[in-house]
Amino acid sequence: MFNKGSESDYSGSESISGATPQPSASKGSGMPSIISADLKVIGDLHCAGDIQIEGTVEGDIKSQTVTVGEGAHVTGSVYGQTVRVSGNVNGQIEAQAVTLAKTAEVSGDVVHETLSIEAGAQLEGMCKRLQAGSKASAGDTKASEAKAPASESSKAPASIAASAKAGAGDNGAEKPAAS
Amino acid sequence: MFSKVSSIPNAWSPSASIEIPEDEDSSVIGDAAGVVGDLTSEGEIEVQGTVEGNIRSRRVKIGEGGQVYGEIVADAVDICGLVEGPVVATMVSVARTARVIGHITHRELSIEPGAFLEGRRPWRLHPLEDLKRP
Repeated sequence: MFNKGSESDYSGSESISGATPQPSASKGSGMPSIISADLKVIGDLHCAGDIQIEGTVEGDIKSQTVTVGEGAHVTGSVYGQTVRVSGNVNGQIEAQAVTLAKTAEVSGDVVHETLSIEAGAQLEGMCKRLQAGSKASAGDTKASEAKAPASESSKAPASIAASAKAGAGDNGAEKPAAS
Repeated sequence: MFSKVSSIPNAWSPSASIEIPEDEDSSVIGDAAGVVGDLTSEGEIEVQGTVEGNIRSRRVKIGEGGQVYGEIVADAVDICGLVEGPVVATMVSVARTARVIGHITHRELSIEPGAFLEGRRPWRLHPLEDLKRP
């Protein structure tokens, strides 16, 4: 049900998602992971498939496809092949295809191969282009389109990156206290 | 006579007191996912993957492939997979595919034949409230 919803949510950026090397539906091994709105995770998430975050994550996320929903809060780094952000991310985003929806609020650097930013998205941080690996094939033409907003936003000050890292450090300190 | 008996409000009667509705939007830790850290929710958590950390929620389901290494505290816990750590819940149901290594503090416990259980299973009237006390 979440897959369906996210497809319609991001219809504006379909050109980008179409160019991603690993579409979310391609995962064969089973159900996607969902962190729903009332769930708070203090710690790291690793996933070989898809992960949808609607709640709060204080820690790093590594997955193939990461979707950060509109009400979601992530404090920590997000790594993936495809990352779509509609919510709040405080930390670095590193992915081949990054999509920031208009409701997105990102404080931290974005390391990408393909970047799309909808009008209205808030980004404080640097946008760095990942040096193209083997996977940049179909995405190349789309990537050039996506670069226009990317270069605009890269003028934003990068001072936030430091605070994002400080936030990630806090999580580590919280972890032992929770047990 | 019997109707009279059943109409008496009975605080510790399982059938009378436990009403834990199903949650519509539950969180899922998929079979490809692993969490190292704690999960806290007011709703439902379904674990098909691996969780190394504590889980606090209203409902927790551990799927057949699910693995939890840590404490589970919830109103209701359904276990079909592996749990290594204590379980504290009002209602616990253990399927035959389950493997639980740890104490299960419960008010209502059901165990299917075939389940592997290691540890004590103490009964408490209010398992969750006892937990809050020092």
